This record gives sequence, C-alpha cells and structure tokens, in this order.
Amino acid sequence: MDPLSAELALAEAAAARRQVRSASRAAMAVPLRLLAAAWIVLAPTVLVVGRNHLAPFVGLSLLAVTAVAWRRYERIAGTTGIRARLSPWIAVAFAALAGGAAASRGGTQYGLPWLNEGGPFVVNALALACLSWLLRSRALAAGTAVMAAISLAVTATMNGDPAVATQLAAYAAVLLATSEMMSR
Amino acid sequence: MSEHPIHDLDDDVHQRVRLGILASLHGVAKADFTHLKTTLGVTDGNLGRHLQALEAAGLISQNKTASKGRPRTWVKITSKGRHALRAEVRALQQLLGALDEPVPQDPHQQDQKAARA
Repeated sequence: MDPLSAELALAEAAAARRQVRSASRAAMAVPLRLLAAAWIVLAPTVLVVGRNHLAPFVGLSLLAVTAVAWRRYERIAGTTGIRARLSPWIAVAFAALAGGAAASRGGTQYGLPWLNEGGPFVVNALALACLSWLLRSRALAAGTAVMAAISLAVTATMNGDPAVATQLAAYAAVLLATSEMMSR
Repeated sequence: MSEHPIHDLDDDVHQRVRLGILASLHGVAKADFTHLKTTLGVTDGNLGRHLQALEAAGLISQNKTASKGRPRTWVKITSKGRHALRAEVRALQQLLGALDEPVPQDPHQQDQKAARA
C-alpha cells in the first residue's frame, strides 16, 4: 500500500468521524434542552414540596425527557436518515439521578447542608462534563464549569429550599444557552 | 514473519468506501442507505456491494423497514465492526508513522565511504 493512499484513507475516515461527532452534538442538544425545561419547572416545585422530597420529581422528569428525546430522535432519523445514539444521555441521566440522590442524602445524614443543597448539582455538572468529553463539546464543557461556579456561589451565600431553587433556575439558563450553541 | 504494519490491515475493511462506511456508522445508532450514499458519494450498486461484503464479514448489520409505503434500509455497525475500524485506523497511523522515522543506512555503503576516505 502506498503512503498517499494510507493518508487519504485516514483523512476520509477522520472527516466522516468529525461529521458524525458534529451530528451527535446537535442531536444531544435535544435532551439537554428538555432537561433545562424540566429544571425550570422543578425550580418552583422545590419551594412547594421541599428539597428532600424532590428526588421522585427529578426521576420522573428524567424519564419524561428520555422518552420525548427518543421520539424526537426517531422523527429526526425519518427525515435525515441518521439516528443518533441515546445511550450517552441515558448514562448521564442515571449517574446524575443516583449520584445526586446519594449526595443529598449524605448531606442530611452527616449534617452537611452544603452537600445536601449543592452536592446534587455538582454531581449533575460532573455528569455533563463527562458527556462534554464524550462529544468533544467545548460549549458544554464551559457550561459545566459555569454550573459548578454557580453552585459554589449559591451554597456560600444562600441556604435551604431557595438555594436549591436558585441553582435549578441558573443551571437551566446555562444549559439552554449551551444546548443552543451545540445545535448550531 | 514480517512485523510490517501492512499485515495489520484488514482486507474486509481496507477498501476506501468500506472504511468510509464504518467511520460514518461509528458513533451513531444507525444510518440509512440513502444517507450513506450521499455522504460517501457512491452509486447504489457500489454501496450495495460494499455493504454486502461488510455484512458477510459480520462488521455491520442491515435491517429493511417500510415507512409510508417506501422501503428503507437501515445500517448498523456491530461491535466487531467497531473493533475492526479502530484496528485499521491504528495500522494506517503506524504505516504513516514509519515514514517519519529516519531511514537506516546501508552498512555496505558505509564501508565503501570509509574505504574512499
């Protein structure tokens, strides 16, 4: 095999891979936008039900986001001929739910209010950071850094359910902006 | 047995269009025949033949569906296909990497140069 053919084959494979990554990033913007919408709904909900009873609502919203995203993916596949993978989102949703619940419970158990109020959010930001690495998305990586900074600032200045509601609203705003950049 | 990187190239994957098909399928759940045809800029017959070869090697799977009365062929990469693609890319990179290494001098020529000096 001559080196020029090898180089050409590699360049073509890399171009195809880049195209797939770009399509995956745009597709992942769908569940992320839905997640942001769910967080907007959960922000006032936490003031009504209390932060320690929020887990079932979070679980239900993640389930709803997954179901809607799956339907949207199928519809998009019907028109574009390419069906993105939903498995990275499912992994992130599961890790965020399980890790968030553990952080919240740990905070209550050991009397650490900052862990109870900010821990689940930092876990969410970490899970999204893993997703950003998987998708090679700088926008999402920057968004998760902003989210972590928000949690630090909120837990240092606020406490109780308002701290959780503020983080939910702020995270939603950051995620909306991030998913907008990813879909371009 | 030579350890040259060409021996790591897989004959089922190595062809340009086949490498393009696998690279296009890697990272997505599935893609349809028309999408692959447009992306790779090949004819129906050409793509069909390469897909058959890849399917026979167990590197992809094809599934025919009908939507709105129109038949549609969906193509998926298998786990064997993913491994084969990674191995092929690695082999190609090694092959190109070998070009950057300094070429060893022929000891015969070195002796002649030394004798002339």
